[in-house]
Amino acid sequence: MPALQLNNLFKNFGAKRAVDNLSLAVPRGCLFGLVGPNGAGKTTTLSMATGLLRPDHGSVQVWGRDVWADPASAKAMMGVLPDGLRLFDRLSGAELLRFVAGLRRVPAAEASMRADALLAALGLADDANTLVCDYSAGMTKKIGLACALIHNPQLLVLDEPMEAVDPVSGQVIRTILFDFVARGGTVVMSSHVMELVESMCDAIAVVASGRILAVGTTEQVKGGLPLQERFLDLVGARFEQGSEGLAWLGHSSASN
Amino acid sequence: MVGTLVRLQLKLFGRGVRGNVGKLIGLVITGLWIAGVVLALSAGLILLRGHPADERGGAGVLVFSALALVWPMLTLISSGADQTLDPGRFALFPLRARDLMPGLLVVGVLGSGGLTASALALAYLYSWSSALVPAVAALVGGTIGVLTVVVVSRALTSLFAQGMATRRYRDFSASALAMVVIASVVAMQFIQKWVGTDPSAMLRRVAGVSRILAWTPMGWAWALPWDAAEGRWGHLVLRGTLAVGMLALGWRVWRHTLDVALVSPLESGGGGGKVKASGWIDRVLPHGPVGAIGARSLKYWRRDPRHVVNVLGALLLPLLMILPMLINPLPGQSLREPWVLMYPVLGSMLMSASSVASEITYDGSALWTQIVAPIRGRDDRLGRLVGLLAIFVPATIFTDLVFLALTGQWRYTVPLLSAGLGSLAAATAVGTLVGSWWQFAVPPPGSSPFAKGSGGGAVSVLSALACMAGSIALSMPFIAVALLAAWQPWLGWVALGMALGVGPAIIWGAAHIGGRRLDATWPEVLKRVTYESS
Repeated sequence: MPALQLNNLFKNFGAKRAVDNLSLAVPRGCLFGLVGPNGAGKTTTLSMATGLLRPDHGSVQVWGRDVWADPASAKAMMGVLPDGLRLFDRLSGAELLRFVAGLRRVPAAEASMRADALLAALGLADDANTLVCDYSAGMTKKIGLACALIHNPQLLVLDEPMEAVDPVSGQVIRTILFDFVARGGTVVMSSHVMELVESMCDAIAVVASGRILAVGTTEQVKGGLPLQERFLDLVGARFEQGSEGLAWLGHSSASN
Repeated sequence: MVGTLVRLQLKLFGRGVRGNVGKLIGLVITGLWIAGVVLALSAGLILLRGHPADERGGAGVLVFSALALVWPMLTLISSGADQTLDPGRFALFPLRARDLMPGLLVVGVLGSGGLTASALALAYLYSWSSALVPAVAALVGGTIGVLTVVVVSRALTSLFAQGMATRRYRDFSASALAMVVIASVVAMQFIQKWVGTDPSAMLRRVAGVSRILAWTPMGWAWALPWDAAEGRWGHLVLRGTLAVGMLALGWRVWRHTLDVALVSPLESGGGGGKVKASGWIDRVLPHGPVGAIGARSLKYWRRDPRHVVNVLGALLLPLLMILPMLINPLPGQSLREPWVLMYPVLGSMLMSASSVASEITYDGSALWTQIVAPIRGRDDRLGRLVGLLAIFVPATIFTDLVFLALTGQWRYTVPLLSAGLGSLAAATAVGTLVGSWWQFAVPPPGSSPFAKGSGGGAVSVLSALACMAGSIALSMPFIAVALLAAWQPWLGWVALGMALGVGPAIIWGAAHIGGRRLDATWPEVLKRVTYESS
């Protein structure tokens, strides 16, 4: 049984079709990357997978439990980090973790032990009692990840987890995710940074215009090329056509 | 540059208003209110035309001194009101302060404050138009005065620009604004008491105060026609020099601060607010979804400026309503009448219903944290109620006791507390239901207090109306029994029994019904409360 299964998902925003008959099965115990250009429908897809956005059509299963028909048991298995949504940022980092642990019914003593461990691992221990609204963008991402992990989920769904994160923290997050997968957890993450996905993920799906263009293990999808080139082939992007009009750029001139 | 800046300001303003019904309505209401005040004051100044110079000058200096004092202060507090042409935003362009200043000055004069000052200055000019020399003095003084106010408030804005970008300042300014509004309501009552009802005595008093104000920076420019009319040529020259000097000084300060602001782009954030590691709230409330949501909500009532303003309102609204009676009692009006006790009941009822209903909208998109967790809508409703009732129950009892003490009607203690708590329960239940069905987006915490009203629109109005009508209807039985206790004192205990027995039951019922509604519509709720900043 796949850890996450998306069946024929559709989503329209007005006249624009954001997700177009998208189906995907993420096997358990794998670090799965969802890549695509801006506006490809990655965030829309992940929102529908986590119960944040109602699909127009289609279904989502987490270990066979339907997210939209049986939300409580499906959501209990998932840890989620959305992109572009606010946090309850008038809480401190420690309070936010305590709040999420309470929502997830993690016992109090266990919750405080896990919160301390997560804050220490992510380098936030010194800022545990700082309000989240005073965190930097990278720290906010990290506390969001800690919130997704505190109830020890079986499936992690992360939207752009590496964005705004500094290289050191990035390495910490990688290590956490690798360990998580090594112990049998499953991770689905989206990104538009090809090198990142190429170096981290076991399997990849390339998404554009709300459809899946290629899916498989990282080697299968790459087909012997660097992921960047393969991706441009799949998406059909041709940069050369657009750049001729910009020939004046970089030549020093008096017209400034 | 002047044209570019003015066009930019108008275009951004137009975009902000177009297609935003709520903002448009708010703008029209504020506009009408300002226009009303300006019309009343201008009419006053125009009618003074035939009066002695003392009265014309006195009234004019007082009005413009108040304007010169209040306006820069409002600009400072409302820094977020209009950050479209914030100097920090031009930091990336190769511009110097002197390139921007004429344009920003014109924009300032064309803004609401500038137009207000100009309109009043024209009325003031008219009041002096019966003789040539004072009229010329009024023209010169008015021009200097209007420019000074614009320049000084601009200088203050750029002087504090760096500080105003921090979260602490924005949080503080929201509460400060509420305080200013409350303080001005109180001040109006005292001013009314002081000036009395006899117009000529009033004008004499005003002239006395204005003679002093005329020697302060706020009054220099506006006293020029007064001096001219009374032939105090020495004073005229002195005050004229001081007024021009003040404008020049303001200009220099503005240029300097603007130059500094242009090389220090705004950075928001910083501050690093720390909180205590383990608060009592977490220890008191049970661990689990309801406790977690309740604790979160309680912490927000303290830390989120929007909530702080609401709590202040709930506590002070009933007192503000009887304030006129306390300070300026009309003949035959007495606080010792039973009906005065309706104020705290109605006040806390109206405030609590809409506070409960809008609680969820204040979460904004952060609500996702609850939606991805396996909680039930009922837990959400009950958790928020724990937080809200922990504030509103003591607040209601407190205001009720204050009113009993103020009016000395302790014999109505039991009925008043029953009516207060019963209608609080009814209002809470109605707010819980309304908040489950209708949500709207409000600006996130830390944004400008003036950004309020730009979200929500029709739904927020509808929600407020439903809260009001619903809680009045549902409170009726509680209030009716409590009122009857005035004739049959034992009914007071029946009312108390209803408040403490039936009250919690209807709250519980509302939480269940509202919770089921939320369970069915979480994604739609999230979409509605997410604030899209333009």
